[in-house]
This record gives sequence, structure tokens and C-alpha cells, in this order.
Amino acid sequence: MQDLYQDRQKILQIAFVICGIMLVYQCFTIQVLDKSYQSQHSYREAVTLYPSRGALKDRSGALMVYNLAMYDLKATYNQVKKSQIDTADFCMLLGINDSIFLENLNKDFSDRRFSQRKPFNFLTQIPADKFARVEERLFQFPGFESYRKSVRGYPAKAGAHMLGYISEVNNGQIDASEGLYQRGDYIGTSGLELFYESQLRGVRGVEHVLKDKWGKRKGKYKEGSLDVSAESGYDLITSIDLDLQEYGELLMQHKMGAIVAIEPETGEILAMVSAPAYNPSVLAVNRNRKDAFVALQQDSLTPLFNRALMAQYPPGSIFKPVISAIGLQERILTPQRGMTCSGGFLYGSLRVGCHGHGPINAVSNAIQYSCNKYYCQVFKEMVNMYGFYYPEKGMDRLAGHLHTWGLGNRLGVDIPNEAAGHVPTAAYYNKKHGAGSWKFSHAVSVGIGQGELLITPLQMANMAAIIANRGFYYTPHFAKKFVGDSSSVLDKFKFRHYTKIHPMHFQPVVKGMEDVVLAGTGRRSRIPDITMCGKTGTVENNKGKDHSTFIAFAPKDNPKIAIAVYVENGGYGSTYAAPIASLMIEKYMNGFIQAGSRQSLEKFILKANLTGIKEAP
Amino acid sequence: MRLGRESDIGGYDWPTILLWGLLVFCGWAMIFAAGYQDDGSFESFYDLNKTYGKQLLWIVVGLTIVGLMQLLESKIYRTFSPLFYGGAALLLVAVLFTKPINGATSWFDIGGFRFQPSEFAKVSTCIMLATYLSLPTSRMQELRVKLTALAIIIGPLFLVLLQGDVGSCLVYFAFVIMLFRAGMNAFLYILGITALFLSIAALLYDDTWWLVNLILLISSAVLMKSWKKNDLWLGLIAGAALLSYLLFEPLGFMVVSIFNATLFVTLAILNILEKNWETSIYASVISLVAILFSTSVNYIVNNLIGTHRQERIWVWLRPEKCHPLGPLYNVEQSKFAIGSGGWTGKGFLQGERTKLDYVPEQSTDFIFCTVGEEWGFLGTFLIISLFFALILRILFLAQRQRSLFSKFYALGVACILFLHVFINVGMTTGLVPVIGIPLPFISYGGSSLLSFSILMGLLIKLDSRRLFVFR
Repeated sequence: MQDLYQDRQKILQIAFVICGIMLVYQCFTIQVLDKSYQSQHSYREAVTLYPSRGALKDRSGALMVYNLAMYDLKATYNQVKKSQIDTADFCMLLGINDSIFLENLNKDFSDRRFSQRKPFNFLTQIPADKFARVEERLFQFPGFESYRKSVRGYPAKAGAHMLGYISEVNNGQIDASEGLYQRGDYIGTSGLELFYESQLRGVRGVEHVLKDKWGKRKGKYKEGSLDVSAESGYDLITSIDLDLQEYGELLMQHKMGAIVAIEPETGEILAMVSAPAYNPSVLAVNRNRKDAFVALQQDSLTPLFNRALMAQYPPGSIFKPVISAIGLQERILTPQRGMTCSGGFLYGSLRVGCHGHGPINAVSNAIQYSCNKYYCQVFKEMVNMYGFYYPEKGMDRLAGHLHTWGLGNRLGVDIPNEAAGHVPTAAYYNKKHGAGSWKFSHAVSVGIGQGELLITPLQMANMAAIIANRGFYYTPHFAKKFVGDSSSVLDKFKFRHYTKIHPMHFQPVVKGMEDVVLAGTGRRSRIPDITMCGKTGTVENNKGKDHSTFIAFAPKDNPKIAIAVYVENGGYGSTYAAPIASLMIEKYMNGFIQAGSRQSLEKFILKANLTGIKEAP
Repeated sequence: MRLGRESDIGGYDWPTILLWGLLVFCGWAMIFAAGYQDDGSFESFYDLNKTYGKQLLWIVVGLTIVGLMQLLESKIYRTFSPLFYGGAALLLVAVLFTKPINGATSWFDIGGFRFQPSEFAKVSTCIMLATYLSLPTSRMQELRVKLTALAIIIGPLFLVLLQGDVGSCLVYFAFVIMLFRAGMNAFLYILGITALFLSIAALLYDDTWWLVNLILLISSAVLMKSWKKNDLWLGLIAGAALLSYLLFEPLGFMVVSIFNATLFVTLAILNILEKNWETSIYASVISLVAILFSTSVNYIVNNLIGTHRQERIWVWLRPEKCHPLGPLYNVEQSKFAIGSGGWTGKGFLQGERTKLDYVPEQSTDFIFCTVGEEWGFLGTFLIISLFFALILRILFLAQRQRSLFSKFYALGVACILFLHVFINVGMTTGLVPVIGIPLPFISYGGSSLLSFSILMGLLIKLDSRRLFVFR
């Protein structure tokens, strides 16, 4: 065998030499010819510019949530070790002791997350007022740098449930966001902060800076042509009336339950109280947050549970105006229909008790005296509308009405985790008792707002708003306006939802509710110069004392506020719920509580303690 | 068999050993520099918790293996080459069933030591290929031999590709270079290089119309030359080229392209009328294929090869397209580190960029940055010169072998070294796209160092017996 391709040896040699020369030339270019690589300040770093998160304000523009500066202190292990700082002095400045200093500095450097040469978190979440002292002396301690972060501050102590809070993004959220969030960013975790995250968040910017080898800024990379400035989030003007909200939380102190107040002509929520409430700043981002959260979580009164949206209660007698309106629409009732009540509704062995009251000569009387027999009878006639043996059709017709009242489904309020409540349908009873084997009598307590019917306080307030509007509602909502936002996120709240009730049928209902306050079950709560229309409710509770509830709106004509109050274990509706609602209305309409009987009523409410837990002295 | 005196059988080639030793020494010095921190954590050179300590261990292991190899009869390597080749293939298959590390199933993890079989497959493939090509029946003129030789390369290459390690795959192109020397059709190489440059040209701009027109004009020139022997006629093509250049913007690419295509077709017809069938057809086919190829390259890169590789290509050819903090960052930091060295560098152990973690993988694939930063242009020139001196020396050794096996083996070693050095130094300096393969003898890593030790050990062994073997 011989090598036939001897001549190719030369080609190979030449090709290799050419490639070698190319490499040397490339090195020569970047090392000698092109001076830009040698300038000392060519370490490039992208500095994230954090947008300021949109603030939350009440309907008159008073701040409810604003941004607060907070500082993280980062340390670079090697630089700290090298520079021989006065450790004792430094610890005193920060208010920590020696062992914490060592613990924070000596990370586990075999862990890949930490490097001795790169900055890591030394002490995080230092409040701005504490940090001011540290900052002016920080230059004495090389190896430490500060990073400003923006967290949330709460000037008012109210509205924790609806405002929600923010927390650091977790890994799942970072992955799912496709680059929108980075480690250490904050994200809305509940309430309005979560629901309007994309509007409040703003857009992150980036700044490319050149640094020298000591990490000092030397200028902008490419004269800032690649920089993107941060865009702040939109400020949210909420529909909340801060004074009313604070007053509501005050009235509900030492009680469990909820208040929801809605402006009927817009659907804007004026106040939403869930009691027991807590101070929103307890869950603000700071070092004590974790303990505070655990404490709230373990509280037996479940303060984290937003009763106004998530608690599903039987409505009790406050449901009677609704049944009245539906009965009128279905022509089961005429405004003048009367009924004799001999102490209850009797049907076979079934007995629904009633209390002694005056004669009932009209629908408005039935509402005024809250006659149980009357509504059991109406319910019976309604369910048996298609005949005694066909309760399914009648039941579904009623349920259909109730759905248009926003019951049994989520209303679509702009806070997550709203409960739907429960409106029993024929399908429900078929499942419970078997198809064809149930009659109206199985469901009769629904007629007086008990039984399988479950409604959230928000839906109760919305019910009041529907009656106030004589037949329609806007989806209750908190967001009034995003300042500067031209998108159409809030347009869905401008849509009127109509019930199937003709406005004229509300006339006797409203009359009845007016009489409730003037001379009926709620007369103790009359406000001298405001015509309030309301309905009390006392909800049977087989686990303890009855729940006290009340819905109302005022004034009678052209109503400005519709309200629902639910006080757990409050007994009669007229004892707590009605006074609280009347005080809220008076506060909202007049701005103050009249002296005399009104103020003594207020004092009575403030003093009441229904939780069974004595306040520590 | 009688063993003669040292000079009878050839003896060791000391220049090779010297160059090799220098490179290993410089390599260790660089790993020490990349791993050393002036924070008092330095204990001793043998500190096995540090990269330089481990590397020292690997150097000693490598030397031992090289020493042992010198004791064995050189014939056995050739005899057992199918065994090595088969064993390496088995390891390459076995490694596919391990847990992926950094997205590739390329390593066996044995007690904290990572072992990369593809490094050793390279050696055994080299031995196998040399064995096959040195068979008396292997005549490179035959298609069968060419195909078998290619199959020997493609086997392990395919297995390495399955691991998801594209960098190590490219190393097998070294054998393609070696086959050129052994007598593979030169035509294929010209085609390959042309395709490479066409792709680069096509990728440099989003719009490939300028390239299409260029191809049309060049083939027009070829046709013109064959139609009219007088070179003055070529001025016409030059004029067309100038017109195309000037009118490209105002008239739009469509008009210019149609004009150039018409020119080309006219010339082709004129050639046919002159009975120059062959030129006409060749020119048409070649330019058509070239146009199709160059227009499809952008599509292929954008859609078919995956974002990861696509990014590396854009970083290389179109840095303006890349996000400054994305993949571009590493290459730029690497160039900054090398560039900051200047003429003479910052001095041994003084490199900050490499030390301060600005450069990725600073002791493995990007070790050349440390050379550039600490030793400056003198250092990079020195290392590159040492490498190419070694490669050329090995080419020379190949030339003086009497045994064809030794000759092809030496050629293979030279080509492997060349490809490693060219790609690695090229990628750190931005000359070629980022392909993660180590710099021979210098990059930190046991598998790489050992495989190159074996490669070189066998080479000097074979060379030392060059006169003993008769053809």
C-alpha cells in the first residue's frame, strides 16, 4: 500500500496554518487593536427598575394603600472578610447581636446558591426610618450594599379583607408568568391586590449600567439606548367610603358577622365589613408578618375568613320582601291580599310557628309584621302553581326568579373567592328525596328564608339594592376607576341586570319595608329625618343563639344606600342588625349620629360583646 | 524478534513531548489561576477540594497511563482496535440510561467523579479508523471503502448525538478532515465549504435577495466567459452588478432580481446556441441549487434547529439581534476578559474578570479567557503557537511513518487537536459560535485530560517504533 494522496499533506498544513493565523489575528484584534475591551468600566450589569405599584384610594381620594420604602442589606463575603470592619459598631447600628451577624454572614458556601464573591441577602426588610441611620454610615462598612424595595403601607386601619395583601412570588408563579416576575418581586395575593394585579403592577424597566471592577457605576451602557424605564401601575380609586368603612368596623367590634353597603344606582360597594376584622398593616411585608399570619390563622373566630363574601347564611325573614315581589309578579299575591294568622302555618303534622301580631290586610302588613304563615302560604301556592303533584315546575320557576336576583350564583364582585350561596331547585330536591316523592311541604321553610337557602351578605345587600332600584342591579364592585387607564376592564360593571319583576310590584314591598321601621319589627331603629326602608330577620340557628340580620335602603325615594347586616348569634334582627344598619345609614347620609336616643343606641351597639371573649384589660 | 538499539527503531520524538509537556504545564497553571482566590483558602497545590488539586491528580494519572502504554507492544493497539471500538460503543449506549446532567446524558457519575465516555470514544474511533484505512484491502478509490470509513465515524457520532451533546459530535468532523488526507473526494469538501460560506452569507441578513442576485451575477459571469472568450465582455456583467447595487433600493429587489435572472437565462440560451450545452446546464443547476440552499438556510435556522442552537448562531453572526443579557452576555464577557489583557496581561493570578465569575465555566470550556486576561496577547500567542507547532509537528510525524496505521493514527490525532483548538479558542474569541468542547490539555476535566493523554501516549509510542515497522 502506498500513499496516493501525498500532495494533500501540503493542503492540510496550509489550511491548519491559515486557521492558526486566524485565531492569532482574532486575539490580536480584541486584545490589542480594539481598545474598548480594555477600559476598566466594562462590567455590564442590568439593574431592574421597579415600577411603583398603584395606590388604592377611597371614593373621595383618601389613601388606603400606598407604597412604602423598605431596604435589603446585601453582603459580599470576601469583601467583608477582607475589610476588617468594626463588627460591634456595625451590629449596634443595625440593632442585631453578634451571633446573628455571624449566622447571616457565614452562609453554607457549598450550596450553589451562595458564592463568597457575590452579594447575598444579609438582612432583609429593614424599614425606611430605621435604615436612614444605617445608610449614612454604610460607606464605613465595605462589602455591604443596600437595595431599596417598595412594599405596602396602610394609613387607615380598615378594609383589610377587601384590600388584600402582597407577598413575594413563589417559584410556580415565576415559571407560569413567562418572565413577568423575577425572584423577589411582589405579587398581589388576595383581595383587590390580587384581582387587579395586572393593572396595579405596572411594567418593570431595566437600566444597563457599566461598572468598574469595584462595582461602582461608571455610566450607562450604549448611552442608555437599551434602557427601558419603568411604568408605574395605575392608581385605583375604589368605591369604598373610608369613614363609613371605619365606622362599620367599629360597630362590629366584638361581634362576628358582616356588613355590606352598596350604592344602588351604580352597584359600587360603599363599605364591606367582615367581623372580626384585623388591621391590614399586620400582613404588610415585614419581618413579623409570618407570626402575625399564623396568629390570625389560628384565631378561633377566623378573622381571615371574609364573611361578607364567603360566609353563606340562611337569610331568614329578610327574604320575605323578595318572596313578596315574586308572588306579586306571579299573580299569587295582589297588593291587598290579606290573611288570618292563627299563630302559624299548619299542614298535616307540619307546623311553622308565628308570633302574635296585628291583622294582615295587605302585602305590606305581612312584611311589616313578618308573618310566617303568610309566606308559607305564598310559597305553597307558588310551588303548586302547576298543580299539587307538580312541585318541580313551580320550584324551578321560583329558583329561576331567584337567579335573576343574583342568588345561587357568584355575583362577579371584583374580589376573588366569592361564594355562590345556594338556591334549592327541583333537581336538588329530586336528589335529596327522590324524583316525584317530594311536595312543597318538604321545602316550605325556604319561603321564610330558612332551610336549604343560603345567601352571602353581599347577595343580601344586593337584594336590598334591587328593591331600592325597583327591579335591577349593577354587579357590586369595588373598582370605581383606574387613574390613567383607558382599557375597558371596568366596563362590565356598567351593565344593568334586570330581574323579571315589574317595577310596579315593588310599591307594596317598599311600603311594607317602610312600615317595618315606622311601626313594625324595626321601629327601634328609626332615624328621625331619614326614611329608611328595611326588613329584620331572626335566623334560627340550631348550633346556638339565633343570628340577627337586617337589610335596608334609604331614603325611600331615590335611594343612596342599600345595606345588609348580619350579626352571628345576635338574637332578634331588631336587637343588633337593625340598629347597626340604621347607624351606618345615618352616618353615610348625615355624616354624624344625632344626639339623644340615636347616640345611646350607638353606645349600646359599641358596648355589645357577642364573641364570648373578654377583652384583655 | 530482535530489538535493536534506540536509533535503529527510531526513538522518542522529544520536540513533541516537550510541546505537549509545556501545554499541560500551562494548562495547570491556568486552572490554578482560575480557581485560586486570595482569601487565604489556599492550602496546598494538592488540595483535592479545588480544581487545581484534582487536575494535578489527573495529570499524574495520565502520566502513569502514558508510561504503562510505553511498556506494551505497539501491535496490540492495532490488533485489538475493534475491541476498543466496540467497548466504547457499548459505553456510549450505556450512558444513555444515566440521569441527565445539565441536559445531556453524557456522564457516568461514579463516586463524585464524572466520566465522559464520548472522550474515550474519540480515541478508539481514531484507532479503529487508522486500522481500517491501513488494511491492504482498503483502497480509497473504491466507494465501498469510503462508505465503510464514513460508517466507522458516523456510528459513535450518532450515539453522542443521542446524548444531546452537539459539541462533542462536532469533534468527529476531525475524522472527516483526516479522510480528506486519506483520499476522500475533494469535490465533497469544496461543496461543504461552499455550503458553509453560503449559509453564513445567507444568515448575515434577514433578506437573502442580495445573495440570490450575487449568485445570478457570478454564474452569468461564468456563462459570459464561456460564450465570449474575450474578457472585455465581462465588463458587461460588472456593469449589471453596479446597476443592481445602485437600483436595489429605489426599484426594489423584485425588479433587480428579474433583470438579473433574465440576463442569466439569456446567457444560458446563447451558450446553448453556441453548442456549449455542458457549461450552460452545470451553471444553471449549480446556481439553482445555491439559490434554493441559501434561501432555505434562514428558514431552517429560524424554525428547525431549536431555540438554543438558534440563539448561539445569532450571537455569533448577528449580535445586534440578541438580548444583551441573554446568551450574548457570556460571549461578550469572555471577549471582555480576553480583551482586557492587552499586550502583556494583568499578570499571573491577577485576572479579575475570570475570577469574579464574570466568565462562565472559567476553568473548563472558557479557560482560554484566563490565558487572555492574565497573560495578554503574548500569552494567547504563545498558547496558540504551541498548539499549532504541536499539530504541525504531528503532521510531520505522520509523514515520516512507514506503517500506514501509524500514519493515519497520527493524522487523526493532529486533526482532533486542530478541531478542538480551533473551535475552543474560536468560541472564546467570538470567531465561531459557542460550542462546548474543551481546550486540549488545558481545560479542567479528568475525562478530557486522560483521553488526550492516551491519544498522545499512543502517538509517541508508535512514533518511537517507526523504523522498526516495515511496510
